[in-house]
Amino acid sequence: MKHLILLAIPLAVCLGFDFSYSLTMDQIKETSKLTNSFTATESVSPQVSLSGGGTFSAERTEGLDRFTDYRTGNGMMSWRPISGVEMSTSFLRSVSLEDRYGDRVRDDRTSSATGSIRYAGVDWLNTTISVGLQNIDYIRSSGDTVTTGNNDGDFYRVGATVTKTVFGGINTSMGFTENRSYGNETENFSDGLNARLSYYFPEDYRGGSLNAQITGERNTINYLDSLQTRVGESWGHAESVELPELIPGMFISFNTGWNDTNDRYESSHPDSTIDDPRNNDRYDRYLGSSLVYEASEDIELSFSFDRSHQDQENTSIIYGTSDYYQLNEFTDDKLLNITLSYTPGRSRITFQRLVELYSYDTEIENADTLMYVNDYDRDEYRELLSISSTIPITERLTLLCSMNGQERSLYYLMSSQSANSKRTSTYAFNPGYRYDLGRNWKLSQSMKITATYTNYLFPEESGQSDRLFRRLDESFSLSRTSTDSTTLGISHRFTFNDQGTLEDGLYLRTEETLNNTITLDAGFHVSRSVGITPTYSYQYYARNRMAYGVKTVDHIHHVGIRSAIDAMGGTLNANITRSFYSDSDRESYWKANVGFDLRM
Amino acid sequence: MVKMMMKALVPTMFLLFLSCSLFDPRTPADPSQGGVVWQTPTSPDIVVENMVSALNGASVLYLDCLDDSFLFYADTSDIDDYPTLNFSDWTKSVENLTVGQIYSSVPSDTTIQAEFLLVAGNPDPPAPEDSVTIYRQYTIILPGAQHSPAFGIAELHMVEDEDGLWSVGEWYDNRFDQSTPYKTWAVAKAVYR
Repeated sequence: MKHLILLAIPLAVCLGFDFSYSLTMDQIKETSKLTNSFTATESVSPQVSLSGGGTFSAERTEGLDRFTDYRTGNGMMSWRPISGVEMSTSFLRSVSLEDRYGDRVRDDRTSSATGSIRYAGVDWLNTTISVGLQNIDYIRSSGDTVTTGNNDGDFYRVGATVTKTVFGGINTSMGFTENRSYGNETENFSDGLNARLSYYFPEDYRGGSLNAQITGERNTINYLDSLQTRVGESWGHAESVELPELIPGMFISFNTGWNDTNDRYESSHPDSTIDDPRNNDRYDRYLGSSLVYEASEDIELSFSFDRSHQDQENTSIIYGTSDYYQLNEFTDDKLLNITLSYTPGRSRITFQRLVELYSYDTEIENADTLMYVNDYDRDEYRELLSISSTIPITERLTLLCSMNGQERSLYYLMSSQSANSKRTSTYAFNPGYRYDLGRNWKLSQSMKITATYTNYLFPEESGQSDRLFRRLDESFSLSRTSTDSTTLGISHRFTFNDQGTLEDGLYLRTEETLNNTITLDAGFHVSRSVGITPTYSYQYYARNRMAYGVKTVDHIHHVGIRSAIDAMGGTLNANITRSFYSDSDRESYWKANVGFDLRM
Repeated sequence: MVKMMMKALVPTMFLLFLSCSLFDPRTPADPSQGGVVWQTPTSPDIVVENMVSALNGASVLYLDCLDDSFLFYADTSDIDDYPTLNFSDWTKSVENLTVGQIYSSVPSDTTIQAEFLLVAGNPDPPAPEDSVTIYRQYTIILPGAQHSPAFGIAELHMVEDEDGLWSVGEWYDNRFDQSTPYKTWAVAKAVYR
């Protein structure tokens, strides 16, 4: 493949193909990734075109002694003998390899050749018929066991879409697909059907519309060696209504729908008595409504309510028996979100109120004799109140501020779990400013103070004390950044947080962490197309786990370089950092990212 | 008139929603047993400590250790060796279902025993920021479960939220080595999916 790519690149360029190439390389500590891809297209004549492409990606993780490698190559020739008809032939080859602990555990190779005819002779009909052959070989290794096999066979795919406008204003669309693949190990069948309808109200009721959609899909995999069939079915519908703007500034919409899916196993042997009861049914229902009221040019009230309900029925076998039970899960999620925005001039002040209740319930069927219990029914309640503002004081100075209070409560309903029920209240204050110094220089500073209280609903029974978590986060930046991200400036970030138990007003700290980082960027341009940013950061990190009597302090130096280079019609971006610890016992590490995008 | 009524609709709906009991949570039953130890997850290692505490106490506080976008990935060899088990699209909702069923299968006179140890050669980064990957060698004894103990290496991709609290974003499950007779956490759970 490497040789193919090396050959394809100059060949494609020489032939005058439209060519694009992308390369990314990442390395963080012991993990490195490489991704390469290219595409080339060429119109030989108005009727004939050629295209091809390939990818190569690899990932190595030293710590787990794992190497994965994935390669694909494809080519296509297309011929349009008359308007609306396209005949094409294509090939695809993919290779997937994985090595673990020095041994090859996976080697999958797939090749296929396909011939297709597409007809779109009239504007309301589009059909495609494809037939082809596939060759799938695999080698899999697990311990001392090596499995080899192939799943060669043929396939066909049919698809059609009909789009019509009826009764002078109703847009309709219907589509179906049928895919069949016959291998010597598995047979894969897939059928799909969908229909859409939309109607936009006449001019007098401008803004109003109706939309409806139904979909159905069925997928089956026949395992020929076991005569077992895995079946997946799904069907659903969705509707939405947008009311016309009957009152100036008021917009109302509703949407609803449901989806049902079923996954199960069937025996395809006519005389089989083997039955696999595993079954997974899922029913989703949802309802949404939204009201936006633009009271004036400056004031907008947005009000939305959404509710979604899910019912999932899972049948599982009890290990070692032929018995099974069914666990039904019900979830109900209700969300109310109200936002009031006031935007005088370039300022923006937003008030938000959010309430959400998520309920989770279970029910067991056929479990009486199995001693099966499920005690995890719960309610999760969330309430948020926030106010945020962006106020430009002058052309250059903008003040930022936000305050919010949030409560998250977790109620375990059953007695075996209810001791874990707790309420978490978070209060945050976040002021800051931005100042435009001119000539692309920006100054910004912000601070965030957060306090989180956790209270147990049953403190005595739970055996847990209430908790407090505090955090201070401050950041400062004075920099000039060019359009190619070349940066000159200084930045600083300071974070302090601690946590502990809170009992009778007494705060007993169990942990504190301090993180302080100063970064210097010394970016400059070598030429108009080459920007380089040498960068240095000093990081002080201290952590004290008082509860365990463990204290660590680290001084870390990050030295790096970033570059943005325009060359050969592409852009090469590189970002390489080497981090050193003052403590010689700790190993330094690389963090590198190189990206190259080329289009010719 | 209609215009007045429509304008009155906004505050009416607001008051209706606030006054009704649609958002009232239900009252929990009095506890019959104690709770599990829980710390505010201010660092990745505390998330793991909370996870161990929740597993050992068969508590669904385990789910609080996982980010809402949580995804679980099984070892490639497990996917190949157990073709009829479903390892795909393993979200937090699936984790809720499978772990809940494992808890329910534990006999009342026994408990889960989970242990997560540092992996030699893969120490935790001392100053994690925004996101980080940590490794733990785990042993989870699951009385009553089909596969016990679950044994393997967890590659945990941790994420930090804007309040500085950590959770598990992605869990890449790995066999300890290819010839181990023990099943991984992925296989132990997938039986219940």
